[in-house]
Amino acid sequence: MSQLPIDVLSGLPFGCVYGLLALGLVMGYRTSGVLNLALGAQGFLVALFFNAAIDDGWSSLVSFIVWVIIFGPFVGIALDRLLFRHVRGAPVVVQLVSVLGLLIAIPSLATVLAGSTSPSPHALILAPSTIYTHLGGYAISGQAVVTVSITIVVLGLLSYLMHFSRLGLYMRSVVESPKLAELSGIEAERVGALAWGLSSLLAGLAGVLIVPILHQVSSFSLTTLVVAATAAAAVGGLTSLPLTMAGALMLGITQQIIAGFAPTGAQWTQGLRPSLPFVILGFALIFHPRLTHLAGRSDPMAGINPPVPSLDVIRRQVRKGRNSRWVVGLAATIVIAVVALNVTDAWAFYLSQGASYACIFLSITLLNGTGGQISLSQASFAGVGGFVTAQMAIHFALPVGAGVFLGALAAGAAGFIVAIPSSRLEGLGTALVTLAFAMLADSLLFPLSWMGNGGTGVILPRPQFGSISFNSSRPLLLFVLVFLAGLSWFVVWIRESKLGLEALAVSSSRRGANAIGLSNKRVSISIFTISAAIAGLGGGIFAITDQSISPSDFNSQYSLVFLVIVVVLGSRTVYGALVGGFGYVIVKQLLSTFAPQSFGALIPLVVGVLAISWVLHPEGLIERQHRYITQLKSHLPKKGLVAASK
Amino acid sequence: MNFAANSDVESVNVLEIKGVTKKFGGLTSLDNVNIVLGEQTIHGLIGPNGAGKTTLFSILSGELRPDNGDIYFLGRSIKGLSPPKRARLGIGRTFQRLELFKGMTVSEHVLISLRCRDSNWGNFSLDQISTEPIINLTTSSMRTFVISKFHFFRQFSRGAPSPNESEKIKSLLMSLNLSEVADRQVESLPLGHGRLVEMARALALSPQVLLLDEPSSGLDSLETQVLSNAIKAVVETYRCSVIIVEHDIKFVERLASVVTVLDAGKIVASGETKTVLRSEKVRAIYSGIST
Repeated sequence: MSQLPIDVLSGLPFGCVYGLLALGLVMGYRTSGVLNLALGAQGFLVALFFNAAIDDGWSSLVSFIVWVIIFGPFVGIALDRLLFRHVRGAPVVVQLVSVLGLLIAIPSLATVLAGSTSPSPHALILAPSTIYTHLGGYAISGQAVVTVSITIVVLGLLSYLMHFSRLGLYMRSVVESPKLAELSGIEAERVGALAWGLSSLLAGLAGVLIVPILHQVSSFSLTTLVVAATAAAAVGGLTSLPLTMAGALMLGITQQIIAGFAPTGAQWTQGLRPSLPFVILGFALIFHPRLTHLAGRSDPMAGINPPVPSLDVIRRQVRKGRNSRWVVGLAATIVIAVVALNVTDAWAFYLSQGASYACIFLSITLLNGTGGQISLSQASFAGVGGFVTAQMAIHFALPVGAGVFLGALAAGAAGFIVAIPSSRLEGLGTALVTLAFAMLADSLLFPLSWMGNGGTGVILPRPQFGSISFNSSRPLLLFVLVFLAGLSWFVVWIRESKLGLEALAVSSSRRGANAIGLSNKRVSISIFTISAAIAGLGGGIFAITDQSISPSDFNSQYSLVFLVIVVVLGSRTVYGALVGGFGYVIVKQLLSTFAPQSFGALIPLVVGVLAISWVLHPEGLIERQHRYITQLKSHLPKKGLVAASK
Repeated sequence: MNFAANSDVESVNVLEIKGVTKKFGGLTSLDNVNIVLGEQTIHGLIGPNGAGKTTLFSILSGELRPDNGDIYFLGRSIKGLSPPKRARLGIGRTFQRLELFKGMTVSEHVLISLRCRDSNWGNFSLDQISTEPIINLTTSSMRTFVISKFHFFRQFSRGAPSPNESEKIKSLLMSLNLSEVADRQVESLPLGHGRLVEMARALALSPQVLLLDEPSSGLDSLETQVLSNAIKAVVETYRCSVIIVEHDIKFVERLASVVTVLDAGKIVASGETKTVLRSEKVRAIYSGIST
């Protein structure tokens, strides 16, 4: 019996689940222009409650009606009310960070609500592994029957809804122009909410159907499912529902064929199957003509009664005078000396770790704050830097300092390779290409023996410069803080260099930059490469501080968290990165020392909520506070005026 | 058909648009358009909505590629060149919807443009438009190569202007009456000033052709008058030619010596402004608008 038909049949359920999620993704994107990367997390939320309810004795039908049919759409409508309708038309970075906030917060919220114990996976109707029928001699399992049947029914209903119902007509009109639709008496916001409800229903359905196939209710598996769905949606150009479904089926089937035919045993073949969606996503983004300008959808009637400009357009030059710089530099030196000489060894270690995170965060300050670019792979570049540092020290007996430098070069080279295709894209496209790279690094690059030592990680010694040893944490802290100060100065210098000015121009207006002969590609690639090298330096510093590095230290999820932390605090100032780096480690340590263990789950929730609230203050918390203080000062009576009144 | 900018005076053609056709699906946006732009000429491009004016502008600046036809700048084809390369050659432009650099001051707009002109990326010339492979590694070309590599590191040099650059910025801003707002961020400027900043930014490239896209759009009568004076002064001072796409017929009549009227992608009239605007054909297109 041939293996190919078996692989095709076993790939169909996966393809159907990807397809349901991808259809939800496309519906939301077409209606509002927001690519909801948290859709997998919404699917997880529904699947978690569905399975937990069955564990509690509910029948699967009642649980399905309550959690999938009622609760699923409710989540979508609620999110539209609270978030999506407010970020419609906002800059891509605002949309993306708020959605990432959801991606981080929803699984954490679900864990807090449902408890830390994962429920057992339950099938909707038929027993998943029981063979119910045969097709041409090939066995068809209960799960395949259920998944494929439900997908066919959903597709039929969706086709009817979109093409023959009044609601479908309204939805299509809102996609074209919400303002025109409103002028025709259609309540665009209500139609948008219904689309988000439908999108969330499809996510819940996908979550419930995939759980029996994966044999677990895993937040990681379900939230990352959205990448496969995004790849399928990209095949359909984020607009065509039939092409999206075809892309999803092709993806699911090809994954199974690869799993069936690829040689077993080799490290790279194990990563091949999970990597396929990322490869397809990357290729679709680079070569699909519709996806090269994903700068956000706009209403053709936007010029009529335009909304208030989003807060993100209020940019402030954070430029300090030379005197101010000297004062800040002197204060920083005093703080560094006092802190490094007085903290305990344990806290010296934690602060060194915080400094290494701050180095990585500075790469986001440069990339997003100066270059206006979005990267979801900064943690991966840090990982490349860290692993190269460690491997150079272990296998080539190079001094650790030289290893850090080579690690930065390697990360810069990786950044350059990612920057070339992403420079062709805009906004969301760049973010998705970097996300694909981060996922590829997780599944293919870091597990390699010459990189992450087969996934187990690498152990390395602390640096030694002549007779100065950094085995003790306090000298290391002093060294790391001085290094961080130098790197901060470098980022400020780049921002105020000619390249920084050009990057600001390109991020403000690509057309305007083109009109003065500025090459968007050169500027974008330069900034991206330097930023990746800085992240690599941070990864190297992390490795020598920790004396070890493993793939789990810098997986793709960290990239999302890092981006959220920096932009929420303020990506246009180095203080945002410094406060973020040290704050991240200090809060983590304080919570693990003083708070109950259950508080751990709240950290992602807090980070997620902060990201969502960022929509209200896109200049970042630090700049926002600075503005408040300035406003407060302006209300105080001025000395001269007081004297004059006397 | 060719319409010379100034048929009775022998002059060099700065820009020639030859047989340009552009289709979007089944819609023909431009159909065999031929326009010649002479030296130091202000050429108006008018027509009702959907006439193809913006499409032609996008083709001139390199944002769109024509399906047929070619564009010649100082006698050399620039058909395949990207927008930045065209800008560096000497084709500056402004936009109907302002494309200013938020967060930058007026001076910085001119500074960045000056630097684009002076950098190694700015030294793009017509001689570089060649399909022949460069295999002649002479001492001179190697020296150029080394210098260009050295220039790569210049992009990291300090962003503040040199005394020479400051002087150029000052002089340019003075010529457009922008000295008073030199240190203001562009977000805080009124629309009229914004349009002048775009013009200053384009002029810093020392262009030979300046493309102005609906420059009077959104301006009141006083601002329009100030702008039209500024455009006249620019042509005299900087000795460049200007193409203006405009809806305001009176504005075009005041400024342009030559005008081309487009309708449904075709040229319906072209020649001396007053003659063209009085023709029955054009009056029919603009019925209800007094010329």
